[in-house]
Amino acid sequence: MRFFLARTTEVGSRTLVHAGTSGVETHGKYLSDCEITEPSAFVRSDDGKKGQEKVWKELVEKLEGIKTGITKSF
Amino acid sequence: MAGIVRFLNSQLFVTPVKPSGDLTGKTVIVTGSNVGLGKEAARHFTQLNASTVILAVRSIEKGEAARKDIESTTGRNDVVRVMQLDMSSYQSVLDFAEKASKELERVDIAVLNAGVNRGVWEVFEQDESTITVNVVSTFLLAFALLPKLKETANKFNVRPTLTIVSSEVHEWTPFDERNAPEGKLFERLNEKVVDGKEVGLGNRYQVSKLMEVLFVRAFCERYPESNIPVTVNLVNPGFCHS
Repeated sequence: MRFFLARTTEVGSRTLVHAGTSGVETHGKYLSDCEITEPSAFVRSDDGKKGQEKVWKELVEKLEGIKTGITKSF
Repeated sequence: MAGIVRFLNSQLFVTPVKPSGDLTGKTVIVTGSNVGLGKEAARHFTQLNASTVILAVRSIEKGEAARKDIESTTGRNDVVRVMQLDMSSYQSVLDFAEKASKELERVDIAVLNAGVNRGVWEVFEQDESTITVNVVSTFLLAFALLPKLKETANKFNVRPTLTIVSSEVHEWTPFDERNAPEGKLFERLNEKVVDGKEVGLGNRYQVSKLMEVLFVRAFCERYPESNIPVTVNLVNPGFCHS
């Protein structure tokens, strides 16, 4: 499957450069093929939103445990 | 199903265009850039005239080899610089961010590309290694770099970008771990046996990439574009060789 489907590393890396040089319109967005695209249906679902809030809360707590104030210091 | 169709269409019929533009005066950080996508992205940034390109890598030796390779293919010397970053260590992440913030005049672009797909049980710091590297250390680094990105925005009147390299594979996991009791998500991700069944790591990479998508969305809901002078986005590089 890799032989037929895979992009070369150089071609794949173009998407990273595109994302890094993109502007404010991409804030919070998921980019695929150098375009703003919707992430998975799960991510956009109610269950996904619940999962999102859980990941946010628990990861922020963990990061604060690593270095106090780090999630609020900007 | 829609995800699979989209994936096949991208892989078979879409070729991202070659980057263009001029990054004169800009400083770029790419993590995990001694090989693969990170190195090729760093090569593009160098080719696009960035003034400074930081290869943030675990092995200085491999980083130096990548630097020489990029210099010889782009013909640009004194642009690429290697700095040590080991994502399996929180301290290394914090040290890197501190050093970068102190030594670099500005940071315009930070591409957090470093990641692992391990498939073997090992714990780095507090968590299973895939989670530590791809999720915890990635966002520890993101938060640790944000003050510098914000400073760059204010000092040079620009809007820097922080890019998290995720993947379409975020679509390919049910993320059952989200059903862990309140406050126990990371604990669940650390359990080798759940309900008497051994936990395989077959979809752990997918879970880590999904957690990245979810966390960035949560962050940007709390810090919309008008509240922060930095653009935070996610990218799917597609399925690539290496």
